[in-house]
Amino acid sequence: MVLSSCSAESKRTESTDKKEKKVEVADVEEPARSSYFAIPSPKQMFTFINANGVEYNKSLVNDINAADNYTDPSKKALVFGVYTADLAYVAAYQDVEATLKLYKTVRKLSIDLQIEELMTDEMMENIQVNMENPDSLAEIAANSYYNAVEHLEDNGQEGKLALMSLGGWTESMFITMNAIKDVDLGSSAVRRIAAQKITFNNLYAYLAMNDDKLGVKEEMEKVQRIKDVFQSLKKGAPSKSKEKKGGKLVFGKGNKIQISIEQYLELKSAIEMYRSQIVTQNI
Amino acid sequence: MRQFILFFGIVLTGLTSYAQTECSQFHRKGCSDNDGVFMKYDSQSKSAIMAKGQTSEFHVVAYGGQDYRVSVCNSEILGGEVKYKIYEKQRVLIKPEEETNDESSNESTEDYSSDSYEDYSDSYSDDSYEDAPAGNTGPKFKLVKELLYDNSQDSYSPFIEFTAEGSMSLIVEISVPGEESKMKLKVRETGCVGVLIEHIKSQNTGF
Repeated sequence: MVLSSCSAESKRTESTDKKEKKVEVADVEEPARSSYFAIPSPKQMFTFINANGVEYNKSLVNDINAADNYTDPSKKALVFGVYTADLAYVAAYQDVEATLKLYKTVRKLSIDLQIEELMTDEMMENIQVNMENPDSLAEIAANSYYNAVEHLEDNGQEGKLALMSLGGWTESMFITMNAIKDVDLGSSAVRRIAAQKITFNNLYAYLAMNDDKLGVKEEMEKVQRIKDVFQSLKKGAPSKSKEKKGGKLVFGKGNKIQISIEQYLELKSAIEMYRSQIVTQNI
Repeated sequence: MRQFILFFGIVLTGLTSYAQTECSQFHRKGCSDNDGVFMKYDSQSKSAIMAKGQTSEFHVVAYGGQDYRVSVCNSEILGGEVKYKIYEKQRVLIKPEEETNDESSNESTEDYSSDSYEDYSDSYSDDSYEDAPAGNTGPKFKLVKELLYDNSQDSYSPFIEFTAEGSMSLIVEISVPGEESKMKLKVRETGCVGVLIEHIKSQNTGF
């Protein structure tokens, strides 16, 4: 998943008044130096933990029946991210029944985000046809996420996209950290969690560039505790990271991000607290 | 006249939107014609519209223990020699005696002493909270972009394969050749640029 922003248009609002239209025209006239921030999709995280022996725990996904109860626009975007991550999780672990249910849920929520046309009956049929093919199932589930990202980006809805991405990333962290039963700091799964420091940096940068849109600033304030934990994680001393090994380029030697058990637990707690804030229904 | 400007604006907005939609899948179609080993599609892949003379930065994460292939492709209209460089972002403390030293030619740096995201002003400060002090009075840090790869030094290769031994914050900097047009309307001078990222778990070799 990629989050993009042109530096010259980073403060553009989602308003459709004439003034804003003028800015869009200016963007065509003067292509600016632009920056794109990529966030790996939840599917990537779940495929990784599945391959590394982390067991499936269906109870970690958000209650499907709660989907109708979110009414606040920014919460809808966040929750859409949560459910798409849930969809990626159940698909990655080949739970066909849950995949179908969650697909319907995500589709329902997509109507509120006006992207329902991207989640067609044909895709639903594809899920049923590919029940015996787990890779295809995960792929179809992932495509609904990519399509949503591309649609929001192409239509200048960076605020919704930022919140959806935050919701999806938070849910993937929540599920991953709670699915890991015994925390082994040397394991691939825990190393991948520590490496989320980099992913979070890119995500936070994108939020910051869109902090004038749809509740983004408020969410940035809520993730300060997560930010603080990541800030406390140290990286191995920077060294010349380019090396050729048997004709192969090797980058990032010594770039290990260190995490202690205390930091891990603090991060888990911060993620759980924020996830709870996201999925708590409107009163 | 006002109606004409409004109409013109709507047409241009429509064209931009159409072009974006047309470009959004470009990397899937245009970047995958190398004969390398099979790797999985990485969701960080992206296509964008770029203009001649434009430079874009693409911030990605490479996770340790993975092999990556980054392929860059572009529409014919943008020419055959699109340059790309891969940098690693690293943030290092400036020791007092280093503050006046020149930087190595392979690195570009940016000094700052604030860690506030409220001060966010450019694409590099996304890493600016790391190990930073509160306020402006603490030690100074510099953000180092270490050049890892430059395809212009590699016969303009459209792709690079590498192993990420540790997790890294990377910038893929893409430059489309040509001078920026003086024309106000650049629709004809823009094209799609795709960055296809693929990955696979690194294989341990040897005994």
